[in-house]
Amino acid sequence: MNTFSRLMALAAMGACVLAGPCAYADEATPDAQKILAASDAVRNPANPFGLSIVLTEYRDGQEADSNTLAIYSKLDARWGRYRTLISYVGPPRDAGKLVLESGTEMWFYDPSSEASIRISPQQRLLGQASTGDVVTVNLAHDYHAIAATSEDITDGDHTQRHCYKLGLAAAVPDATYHRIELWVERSSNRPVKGKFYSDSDRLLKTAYYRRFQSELGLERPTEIVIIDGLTPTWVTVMRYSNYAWRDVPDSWLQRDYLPHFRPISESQSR
Amino acid sequence: MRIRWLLPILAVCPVAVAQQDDDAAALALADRAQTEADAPRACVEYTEAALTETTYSDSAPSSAGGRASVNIRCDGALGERWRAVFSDRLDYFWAQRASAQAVNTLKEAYVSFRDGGTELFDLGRINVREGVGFAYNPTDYFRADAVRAIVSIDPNTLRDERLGTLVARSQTLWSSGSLTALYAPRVSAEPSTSTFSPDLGATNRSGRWELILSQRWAADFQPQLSLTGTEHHSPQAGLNLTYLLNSATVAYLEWSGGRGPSNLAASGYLGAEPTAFHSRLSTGFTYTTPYELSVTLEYEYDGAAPSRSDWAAIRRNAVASNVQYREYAGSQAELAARQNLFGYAHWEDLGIPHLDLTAFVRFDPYDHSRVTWAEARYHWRHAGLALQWQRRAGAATSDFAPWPVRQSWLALLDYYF
Repeated sequence: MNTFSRLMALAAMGACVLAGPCAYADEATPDAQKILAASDAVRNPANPFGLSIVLTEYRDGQEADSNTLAIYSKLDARWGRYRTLISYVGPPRDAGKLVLESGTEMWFYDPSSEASIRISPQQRLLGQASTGDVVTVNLAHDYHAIAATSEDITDGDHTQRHCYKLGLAAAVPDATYHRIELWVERSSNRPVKGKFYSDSDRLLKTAYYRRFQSELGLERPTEIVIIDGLTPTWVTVMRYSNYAWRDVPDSWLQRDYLPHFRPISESQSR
Repeated sequence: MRIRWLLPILAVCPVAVAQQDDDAAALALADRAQTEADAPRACVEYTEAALTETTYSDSAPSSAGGRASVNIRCDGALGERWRAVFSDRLDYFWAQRASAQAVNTLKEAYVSFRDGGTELFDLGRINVREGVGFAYNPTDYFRADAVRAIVSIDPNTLRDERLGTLVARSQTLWSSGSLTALYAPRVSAEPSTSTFSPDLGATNRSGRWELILSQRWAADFQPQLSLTGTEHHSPQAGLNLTYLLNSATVAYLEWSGGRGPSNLAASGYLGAEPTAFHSRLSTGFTYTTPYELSVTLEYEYDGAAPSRSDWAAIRRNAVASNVQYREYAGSQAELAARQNLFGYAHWEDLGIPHLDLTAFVRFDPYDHSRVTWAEARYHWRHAGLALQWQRRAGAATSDFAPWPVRQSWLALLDYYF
């Protein structure tokens, strides 16, 4: 390699360092699917649980909208997927509305008409956050992890993390995204960052998982920052709180129960 | 040259740097974010104020009018197992060359008891709403005469703003399904136009019952079967099915069938005639694009509605009787003609955040008449501003005849407390 070539190589490496992530050869070939499953376990408690989410949407730095949701989630062992009930707490025009995700079904319920309408995963909930982002998703069930390389990136809390970069391909027809790039911290299996792509391979959104806190026995993300793929100044902050074990009977997680749903208190949990 | 492999990297790096900058700016914004959760509330109240402009088909001049409305819905717990629901709206209409009118719609008022989570009992006025169809719901058996004050012809609004039925309802749930039984007693045979009447004569004119069975047979297959009966009428069977075709498309089918009078006979347009078996169907799909545009296409069939030859006969009669029949079909939420095609589009954040555009067209493939409706709506956190337009097109005796109203505009302001 001559001097010019060496200089160009150094310039490229320098540029990549400045840009942040740089892939490098891994010392051993990891099992990408296992890493993905371990990362799922960090995001999703193993037992039925509930939490609150405040979604705040920003456009060009200004707050444009805000929603408060109560979430109840439970793993359905038969299908390997979570069943999730989303209850709108605010704003006032949406209060009382429900979204049920059960297996491959999603239902939207409006109390004013007592009507349940089946919706597709692509029908969004708010801002860049589709229902597929808000409900609890086992990525290891919906996607094949087809590659794992090592990469150092800056996480959502501005700290350098030594990560696996996983390439995920949709494994079920109703997967919300065509493919995903997911960065998972090597030492803890924490999800750090995700890039989500459409069928036409357009970047739909980038998500940062951050503000990890001890919740329900593990360090879990309590905030997800979503950045639009086309308009980066369109940002949604999803803040998680009030984690609690909240069991609900399986019989409640179906369309026919939605008109009877009431927010679940601690005393009602089993 | 050995460095050729570096060129793609050099080309990509400026893009990567730009993305890093965007991400850093977004994360800095999130660092500063002050989020405040809404507190749960038992009641939601809102008001509406609207101005209208109506154009007629005859020589009558256009008329201006307006509406003021108050709407409240409360859903509260009465202890661990009891719950009470109350929903009501009051509309005040006025128009040029017409007397003002106030209409109260007691939509729901019922108590609910939950025994251990799998047995549920409800008693009171309930908006019993079945059917997966979008605009036509043949298994929504409690829809007839339920709309007391038409504030919009949008199918969603017609479903929301209507009277419930006085019923006793029991529901048993299990992990893969449910069984619902309900009974609606006969209370009164006379509808009321009194402002604050609960109008049980509209919704409880005869004794009715219904059984609804829902059972999951596979991960994505849970049909709903129903059987309903009305005093002095044959029972009607119903079926509701939905299926996810892909991550963006939901298909649905709703069917009802049973013996009964034709729509013309039931309306009094024809004399008594023998009952016959009639099928009613609503089927279609909703597709959502990645750009927040949802499109629904629906095929609607009403076997009890007039056939082509019947329509030809109707069209030879006076316009007034034709209008009377169509108004009857509308009040029963039945099709006036045998087939309709329906298209509905809803586009959120149309170029500007919080600006939504909704439009639908209902088309009669036989006489090519149609009704078109569109709404542009902008909303803030508590308030909303909407502009609605509707127009009917076709011959004077067609399915969607522009008679007497051809077109109307409505500007609406709402406020949620």
